[in-house]
Amino acid sequence: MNWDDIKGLRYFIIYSILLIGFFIYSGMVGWLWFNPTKAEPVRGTGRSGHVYRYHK
Amino acid sequence: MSGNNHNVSCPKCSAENQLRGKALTVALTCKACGTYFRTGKWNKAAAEFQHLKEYQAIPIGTRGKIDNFVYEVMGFVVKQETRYHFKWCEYLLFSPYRGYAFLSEYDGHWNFLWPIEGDPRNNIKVDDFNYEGAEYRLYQKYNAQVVFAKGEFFFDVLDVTESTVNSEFIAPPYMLALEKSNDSVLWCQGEYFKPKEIAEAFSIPLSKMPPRQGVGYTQPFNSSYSDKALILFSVLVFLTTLLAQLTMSSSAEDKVVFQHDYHDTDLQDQKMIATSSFDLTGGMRNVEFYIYAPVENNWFFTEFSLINDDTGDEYNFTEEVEFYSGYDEGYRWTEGTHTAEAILSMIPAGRYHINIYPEFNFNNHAFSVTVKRDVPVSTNFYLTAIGLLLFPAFYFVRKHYRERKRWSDSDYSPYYTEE
Repeated sequence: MNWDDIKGLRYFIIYSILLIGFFIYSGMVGWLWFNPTKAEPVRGTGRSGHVYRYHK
Repeated sequence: MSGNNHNVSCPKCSAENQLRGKALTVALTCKACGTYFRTGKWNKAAAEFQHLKEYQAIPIGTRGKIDNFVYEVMGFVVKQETRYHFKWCEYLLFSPYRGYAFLSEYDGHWNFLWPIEGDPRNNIKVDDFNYEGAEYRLYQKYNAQVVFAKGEFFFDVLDVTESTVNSEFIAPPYMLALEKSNDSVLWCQGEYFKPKEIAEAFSIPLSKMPPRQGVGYTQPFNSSYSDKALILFSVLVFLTTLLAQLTMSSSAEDKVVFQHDYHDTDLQDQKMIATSSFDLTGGMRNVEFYIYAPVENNWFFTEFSLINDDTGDEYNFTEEVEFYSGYDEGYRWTEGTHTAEAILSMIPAGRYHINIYPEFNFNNHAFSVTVKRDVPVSTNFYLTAIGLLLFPAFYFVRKHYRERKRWSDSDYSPYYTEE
């Protein structure tokens, strides 16, 4: 692999760096790109702590 | 015909023609009437051609620099293959330092060819061979005739063209051309040139160059980088990703932060079980739930709410465990498992508890929940590997189809199958 090859492959190199960087970042924050568990986040409902809730 | 001091007169119109090639010129066309004739006493009839000026992109006498040597265009011919009747152009070039060479042009694709010493095949008559590190393969074998000529030639281009059998071997962007007659053999080596490169070399406007059509038989698929470099880089990025995956997997905490066995009596008169609180540490990480229920020919369904004690943020999901078994014609069969797993992405650190809403069935009264923080996962690795392989995969698929197209005009195509 010489300098011309690196120049020719620059778009693939940039794409690979971005993809691997995103992969490492996702691994660090525990982000699963494909997750069969469909979790439904609900932000700050004020029901923090142990609450009683009837089953739906 | 008569002449002196490198001037010859035309045998047809008697016009005086000054020879650019001086004593080297063996044949030429008259500048006044276009008649092709030989210098000296060759005793051959002059030839006249139908005017095919539109084929000529580089005028006679034009100088251009190729491989750091200045060449002058001495002659121009249009040749026609005798079997399939396709036409192409050839320019005879001359450099006082390197001798003569050729430029051939077909459908806007250019090859620069120069004579070489010896036989690249080492006198073994094979269709495929290795020369200077490249694998050459026979592309075409043909006879040709000259249908138009203009300028000067260092050989009788009509006679040479009609008396030789031509074989061309390619290893894009290179080629080897063999012109063989009963008493002569000439090998030329060639290299593909883009129209832009020829236009710049001979200071011709690109708009005057014939437009490129289809795939040239020596046109490289990709001149920006080599296949070897692409494979090498692809392997390198794959190994980098694998190393990152192994590092992240080995450094994952994979820590059990909560584990408890439950029985339906724990519900008492309520529909929900609230677990004790536990800490999720280490910033944002994933959380895995492992559920075990000893069901037999039954199912167990439950809804979970992972709740942050401080902010009230909830993450709700459901899981189902089912297991069935029995005997059918003497064979035991099973379906399902006693366990289920769920992973939540990007759960911030904090103090949490879980609200569990179980649905027990008639013969199932217990289940257990294990919660792990920061478990190693491999899905992202596989998706990244696929994403990285897309580029080389697309490249080689495209190259394959391009090669098929390149060889579609050849009688010696390696892709040819009788269908």
